[in-house]
Amino acid sequence: MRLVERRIGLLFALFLLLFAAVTLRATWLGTVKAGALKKRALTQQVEDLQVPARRGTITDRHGRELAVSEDAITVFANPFLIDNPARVAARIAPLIGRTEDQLLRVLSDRNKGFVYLRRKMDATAGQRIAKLGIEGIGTVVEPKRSYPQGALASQVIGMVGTDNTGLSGLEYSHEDALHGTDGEQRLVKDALGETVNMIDVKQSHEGEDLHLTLDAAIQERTEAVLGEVGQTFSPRGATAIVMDPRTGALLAVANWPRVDANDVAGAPGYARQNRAIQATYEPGSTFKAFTVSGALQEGLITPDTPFELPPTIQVADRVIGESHDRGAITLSVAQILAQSSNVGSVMIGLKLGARHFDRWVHRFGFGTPTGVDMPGEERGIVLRHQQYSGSSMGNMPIGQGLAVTPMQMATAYTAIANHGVMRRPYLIQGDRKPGKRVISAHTAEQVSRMLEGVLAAGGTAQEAQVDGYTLAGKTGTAEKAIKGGYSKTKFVASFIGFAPARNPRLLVAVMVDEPQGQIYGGVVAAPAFERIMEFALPYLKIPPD
Amino acid sequence: MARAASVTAPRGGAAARAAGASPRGGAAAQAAAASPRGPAVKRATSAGARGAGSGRRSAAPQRSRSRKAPPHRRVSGPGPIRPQAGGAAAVALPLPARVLNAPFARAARHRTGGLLDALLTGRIWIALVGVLLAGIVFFNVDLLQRGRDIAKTAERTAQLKRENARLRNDLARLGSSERIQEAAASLGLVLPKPGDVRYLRAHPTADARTAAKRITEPVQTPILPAEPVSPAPAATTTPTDPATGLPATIAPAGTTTTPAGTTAAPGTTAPGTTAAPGTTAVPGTTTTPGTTTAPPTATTPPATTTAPTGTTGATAPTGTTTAPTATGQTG
Repeated sequence: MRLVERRIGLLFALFLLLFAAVTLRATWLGTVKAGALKKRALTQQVEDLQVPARRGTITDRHGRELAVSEDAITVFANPFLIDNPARVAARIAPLIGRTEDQLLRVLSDRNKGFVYLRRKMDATAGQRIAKLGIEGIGTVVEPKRSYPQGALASQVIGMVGTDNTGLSGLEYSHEDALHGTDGEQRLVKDALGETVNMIDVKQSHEGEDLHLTLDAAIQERTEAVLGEVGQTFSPRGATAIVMDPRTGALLAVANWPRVDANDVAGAPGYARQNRAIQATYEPGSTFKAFTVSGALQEGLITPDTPFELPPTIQVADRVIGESHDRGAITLSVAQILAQSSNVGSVMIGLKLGARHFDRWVHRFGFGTPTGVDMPGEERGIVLRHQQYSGSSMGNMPIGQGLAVTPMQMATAYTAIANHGVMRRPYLIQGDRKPGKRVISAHTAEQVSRMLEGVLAAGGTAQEAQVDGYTLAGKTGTAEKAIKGGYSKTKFVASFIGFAPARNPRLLVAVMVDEPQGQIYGGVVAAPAFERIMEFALPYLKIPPD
Repeated sequence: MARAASVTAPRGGAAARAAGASPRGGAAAQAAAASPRGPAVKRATSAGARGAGSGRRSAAPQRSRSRKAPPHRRVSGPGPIRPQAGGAAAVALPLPARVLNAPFARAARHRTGGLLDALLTGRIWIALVGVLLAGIVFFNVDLLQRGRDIAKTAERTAQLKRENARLRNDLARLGSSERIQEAAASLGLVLPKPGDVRYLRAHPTADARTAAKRITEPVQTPILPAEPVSPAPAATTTPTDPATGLPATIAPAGTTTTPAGTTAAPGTTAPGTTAAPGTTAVPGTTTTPGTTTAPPTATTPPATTTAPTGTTGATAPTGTTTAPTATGQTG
């Protein structure tokens, strides 16, 4: 009996000892090692995830998506954890779209603990890699910007970088609205790595959608027409703007050469530029409409006022002639505009005087950005009359000696098309800006009638016609300014016009930079204007006037 | 530890309540001393002195009445407070004691005391604790399971969102005007020239009147399904207009009805002529903006020709780029 009691006692002592050891160990782990263990547990059991906000969609006026966001998968590797790089490379190379050799080089580099194998690849293929469950190969979901319409309006929409931040175009200028707010999520996992709890540490908020005034169909057609111009005349570049002169809503802002929005980085810098607002040029004869408008508004001339025009005219040290030699002639103001007479326009400008001319130039908005909601708009170069040289009034009335953007020209023409009220252009729906009266409705009407003559028989763009519609517009052929003067080989051909002439609802500006073979606005740019109008007028169901 | 506390606390509390006072012996003794009944005072005093554990005995005074009263034990602590003369002590007692010693309260204690004893000392208590523990485990497991489900649902949601975004992308790509125009061109469709598109002018009042005039009784003859149309001459497909009895010209499918040589310029359509009853809006005479098959194979003269009144004049064929004219391209 005593033996039994002793054994029980021993057993009890043993258990007591064990219990004491366990208690000591628990105390050791719970106090001394607590910090390190807690950290390790956190890394194993708790995972903090960044939840990137879905970037807002950019749509055209009809809701057609121009830029959308979708999830993509980024594949990365930790070379330390990969036992057999050759086998891993062979397995994932076809899925990633890289050669086995390339992958093997990357995976065998033991100097790095983290390498990207492929950024933002297709989610389906990425999930296939994740399902392989290869140790040392990881995947993470990242948002990817996609442009389903390809090259359509790519210079306007812009692009985003790999970190989902806008780098150019509307993607850049509306970054705050489009981006949204990234969220944070905490996942608690069990011993098997399965998520047992998910906590939204910070709620993510999707970016706002951006609805543009652009019309994808008109934009596409305009770009196609510019493509034809590009093929025919091999210019350095071309730009076209289509807008509603009654509101200032931009229906198309096209640039040539086109750039694939999904691969902007591969395009040259010049092609990536949105020249509608970022390129300045000397407008040439398209500017004469403003010289005439100012003089008409001042009451110095009427459309029928005759001018006796010599073959050339000298202003200070500069002699201005016509593009085609002719003798002395008498032309009315309307004829001067229709035939785009340089001498006649200079004479009208001289009649207006430098101070008044300068006032009208600025009144039409030249020298200041139009305020269109696109980033990087140029203001152009326009001197104040105090800065004029002696010959300034010899070339500025004909659109030389000042630099403007195509957008500024189109905007200024809205004043003529819109009964004297100039509309500032806008690209984001609901961003319509108030109009500004620049000239009287009567003056606008007079100039508009005179511009019809440009497309009538004897005008500089008489070939440009759209069946059933009366068109009005002005051609422009400007020598490009080079060091010390003007180039005799490089030109900018342009045309700005609107239709129907008596009730304008569509305004188109075309600018072709350095066309080859032909140089005149009436030959290079006016046909492009015509083809754009041919499509857009019936498409918008604009009845003939 | 907290659970243990919660288990023992009611016992002490109940015992104290059964004793008719607070669990503290001194207070119990005070309460018992306040009772007008002699034996009860004695039992309560002893119960209070023993503490909470023996308080339940005092909760059954009738049963204990048949037994022999236990001998008086010496207890430590302050002795019982004896009532003072004139019953002034009863008046001076604190309110809880008075309430607890009220006849109703005593009766309630008497009735529930047995059940409470059984609950606190019986095996049911062990079962209850077991059930509670099992419940806690169950709830924790359920919580984990729910967490897993939520995580899975969230993953599924994300996957569906991903899929949705991809499909939207595909839809936008397929709906691009460039692709559609290419597909249309491959089918032989061409864009109509602006001159080919004619517009009807609406006259809200006149149109309503005309429409009202045209309303007739419905035809009783059953409408049979259309038979396959053989490429018959246009003259054979001229049904009569039920309203007027005049033949309504219907162009066969696949033909453009506007004769190429007689295209009336848009805008020259005299308003009103298109609204003549029975003869207007004849299918085929109006070309809708869209695509027409080219080239026209046959033409049918419109029922009422919209006479060009003021044509826009001869215009050069569009789409042709010509060389600079002799007038000089200064612009």
